[in-house]
Amino acid sequence: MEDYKYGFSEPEKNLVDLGPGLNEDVIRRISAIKEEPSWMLEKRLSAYKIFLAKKIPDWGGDLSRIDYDKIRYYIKPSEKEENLWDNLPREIKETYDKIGIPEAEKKYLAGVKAQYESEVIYGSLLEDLKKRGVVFLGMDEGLKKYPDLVLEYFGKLVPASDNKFAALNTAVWSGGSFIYVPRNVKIELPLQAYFRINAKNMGQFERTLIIADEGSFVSYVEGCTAPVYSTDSLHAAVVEIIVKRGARVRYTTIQNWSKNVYNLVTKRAFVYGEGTMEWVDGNIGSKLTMKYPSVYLMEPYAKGSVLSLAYAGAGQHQDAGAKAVHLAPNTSSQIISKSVSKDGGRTSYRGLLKIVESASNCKSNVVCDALILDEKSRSDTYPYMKVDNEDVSVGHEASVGKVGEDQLFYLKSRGVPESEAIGMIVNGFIEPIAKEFPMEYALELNKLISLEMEGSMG
Amino acid sequence: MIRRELDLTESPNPLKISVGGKEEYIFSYYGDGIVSQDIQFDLVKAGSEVKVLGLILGLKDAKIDLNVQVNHLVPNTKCTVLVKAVLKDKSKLDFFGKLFVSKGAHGSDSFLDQRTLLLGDGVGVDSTPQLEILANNVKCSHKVSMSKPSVDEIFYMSSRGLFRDNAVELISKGFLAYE
Repeated sequence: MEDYKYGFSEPEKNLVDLGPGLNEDVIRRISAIKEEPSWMLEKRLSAYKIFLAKKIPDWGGDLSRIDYDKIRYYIKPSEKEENLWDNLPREIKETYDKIGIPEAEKKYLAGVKAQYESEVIYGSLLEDLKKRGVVFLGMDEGLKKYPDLVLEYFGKLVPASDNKFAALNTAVWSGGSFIYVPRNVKIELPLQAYFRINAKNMGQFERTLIIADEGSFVSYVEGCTAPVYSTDSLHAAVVEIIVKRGARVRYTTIQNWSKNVYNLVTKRAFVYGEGTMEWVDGNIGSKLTMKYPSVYLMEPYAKGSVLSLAYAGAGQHQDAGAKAVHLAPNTSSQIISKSVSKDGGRTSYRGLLKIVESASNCKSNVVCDALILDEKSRSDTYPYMKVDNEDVSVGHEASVGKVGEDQLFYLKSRGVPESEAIGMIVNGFIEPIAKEFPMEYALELNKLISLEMEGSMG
Repeated sequence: MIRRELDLTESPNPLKISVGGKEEYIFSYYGDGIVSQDIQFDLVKAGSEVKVLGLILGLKDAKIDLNVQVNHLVPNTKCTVLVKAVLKDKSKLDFFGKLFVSKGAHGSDSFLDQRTLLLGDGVGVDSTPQLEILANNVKCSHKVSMSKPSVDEIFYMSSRGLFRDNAVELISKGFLAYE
C-alpha cells in the first residue's frame, strides 16, 4: 500500500528496553518492572513452558519466517500513564496527533486508552461514567486495583494452553484494556483503544479483559497501526470478554498494521442468558493475520454475531473468520464475512460452527462472500460445522467470484470510467459491513478502496 | 449427458474420475452400516461438465463418511454437486466437499450444495465444505443447510388428516426425490 499514511516512525526514546530474544529471565524482569503479585509471575512462567512445547500451527498462513530471537518483547516508552496528552513525550504525542486520536476523543468518545509499544501511555474516561462505577483501566493497572477480578477471569476464556500464541501472550503480556461495566449501566459513546507499534522488530502483546455485568452495554473500538520497516514485527494479543445475563457488548476492530506485522490474535467471548455479543472485525493491514473472533453461547437465549471484513493486497494474507459454539438451547448466531483480494493477495475464511447435543432449538446462519480482482490473487473458504442436535436450523453459504460483468457494463454505459466503476462496485460489496464501523473509519475504508482500485483493470 | 451410477460399497477407495465430456454421476446409500468413500473428479478438458448427485438415508447407528472433491484444472469447466441426506435414529454423517480451481482455470463455474434433514434424537453432522480458488474469472459457491422438518409443513399435513409419522415420511421422500 503506497498510500499507507501511518507508515511514519518517531525516534525511540525508551525508558526500558529488554532487547531482542526471550527467556525466563526476560519474563521475570517484565513481572518485576510491573511489581506483579507472585501468582501472575507463575502464570507467565508456566505459559512460557507451554509456548516452547507447542508446535507452530501447520494450517493457516506461513509462520515459519518469524524469528523469535529478533523480536523485542518489552519496551517501556514513558514513565506512567498520563491523563493529559500534553504531559506525554513530544514524539509520542505527535504520533497520536497524526493519527487523530485526541481530536476524536473531544468529539465523540467516552474514554480512550493509548498503547505505545508495551505500555498504555494515556488514558481518559468521562467523569460521569467514573461516578456510575465504570472501570476503564490499562490491564496492568487493572491487575493492581482489582486483583480478585483479574484472578477470577484472566485466562479463563483463553487459557495459555489454547494455542502457541495465546501461550506467548500469557508469558509476556503487557498493556491492553481492563473494563468493568456495572449492572444496568449503558455507555452511550464508544470507548476507544489505540495500539501503536513504533520500534523495529517490536513484539506487542496486549491483553484485554472486558466484563459486562447484567443488563449493561458497552461499545469498544480498537485501532492499530505501525511504521513500515523492512524487518518484521509481531502482534499477538488475547482478548477475553464476559457478557453476563442480558448484557450487550460490541467490539469493533480496525486492524491497519503496516505490511511487516504478523498479527496473531485470540479473541473470545462467553455470552450468558439473553446476552448479546457482536464482533465487528476489519482486517486491512498486516503481512499475515490469523484471527477468528469467537462467541461461546453458554446459556439459553444468548446471541452472537460476527461481521468480518478482509482486504488483502500485494504480499498480504488475511486468514480471518469466526467461531460460534452453541452450548445451550435456544441460542442463535450469525456470521457474515466479506473479503477482497487483489495484486497477489490472499484471503481465507476459516470458521467453526458447533452445536452440542444438549443445545436444542438453535439457529445459525453463516454467509461468506469473496471478490477476487485479478488473476494473481487467491481466495479460500474453510468452514467447519459440527452439529450434534437434531432440533436446529443451520445455514451456510459461501461464494467466490469477480466483479460482475453486467454491473460493470451498466456503470460504463452510464459513462463511468472502468476503474472508478470497479471502485464503486467493491465499495458496494463491502458496504453492509463497512456501515457498521464508526463513521470516520467507514469513510476511511471507502477512500482506501477507491484509491486501491485506481488504475486497476479488473 | 452420460449418466453413471456409483456403488459406494463396492467402488475402490479413493475413487478418481477424469471427466472429459458432459457426465453425470449418481450415488446413494440406504442403511445402518459404516461407509467411508473418497471421490475425486478431475475436469481435464475445456468445456467439460460434471453433475454429481448423492442421496443418503442413514438408519440406526450408521456412520457415513463422505469426501467429494472437484478439481477444475482447465478453463471453462462446470460442476454442480448436490448431496442430500436424511438422518434417522443415531446415524452420523461426516461430509467433506471441496471445490478447487487451479491457476489459470478461467471460466470455471462450480457449485456444491449439501443438505441434511435431521430426524433422530441422536443424529450428528460434521460438514466441511471448502473453496480453494486460484483464478479470478470464476463463479464458485457452496451452500450447506441442516434442519429438522419444518413445523409448518407438518402442521399442514396434519390438518389434512395425516399422522405426524406419515407426514414426516412424506417429507423425507420428497426431500430425497430426484428427476
